[in-house]
Amino acid sequence: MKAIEKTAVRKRGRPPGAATKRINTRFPAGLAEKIEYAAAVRGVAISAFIHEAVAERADRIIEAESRWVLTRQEAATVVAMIDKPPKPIKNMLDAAKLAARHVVIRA
Amino acid sequence: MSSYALEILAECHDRAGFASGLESVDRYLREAARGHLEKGISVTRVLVEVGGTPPKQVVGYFTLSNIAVEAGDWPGVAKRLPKQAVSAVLLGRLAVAKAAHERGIGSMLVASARQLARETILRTGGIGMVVDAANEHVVGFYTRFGFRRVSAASLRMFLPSASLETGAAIPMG
Repeated sequence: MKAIEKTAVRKRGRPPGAATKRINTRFPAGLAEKIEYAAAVRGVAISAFIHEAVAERADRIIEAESRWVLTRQEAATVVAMIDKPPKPIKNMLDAAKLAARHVVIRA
Repeated sequence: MSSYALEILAECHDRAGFASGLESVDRYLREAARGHLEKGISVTRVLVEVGGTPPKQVVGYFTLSNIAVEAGDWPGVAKRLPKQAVSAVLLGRLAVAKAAHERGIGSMLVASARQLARETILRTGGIGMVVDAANEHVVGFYTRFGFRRVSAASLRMFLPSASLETGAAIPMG
């Protein structure tokens, strides 16, 4: 995979942005072939293709932990719960009692 | 007298020795939690036995952070949620060490996270507590505490601010 990547980069030039940090990883043969094929279909270097795909996935994961854009169904559920908040159920009340007896929260 | 202390993750806690049985949450504690704490991304608190000496054995942990909730322009939603982003508290991860199962640790962690989320919301505002369940089995766990799934297609769950009051207060010390 590494050899293929080097050839592709030399042929097509470096992907955009200063690539200064190396992450070493190995790919199963089947996946490496799939990546090569997909990169060829898109007409980009393999390293550029991997950068783009990984950056997109990383952005999605990071965003999911800091920003939640509600779908129509999610918005309807959230608003319905805010309008009519469910009363704390017995398990939560019991859990709070148990924690109040056995846990101290240190700042 | 308390048996357990909930502490902010620090050097004195044995991260490497923590094993919940779910590799993704074990790896997060080992490799990412300290960094996220230092960068202000999230706060991880660990449950340890009172009187333990470093490296303190972690019996469970959870991670809280802020999440911006955007309602968008869906019809009827704007009345209850503003178009701009509103804040909520995200319980991103919660795990119990395999060796500490069947002791009510998970329940106590949920209750502690709920209390801390409520305090944050009382101080700085927020519409409620959001939970990301790791899988369907974990959805069942949070359902037992009143959290509700927001859509069939997602493992994200929610409980509004008004539902976070439970009476019994966990002592701070």
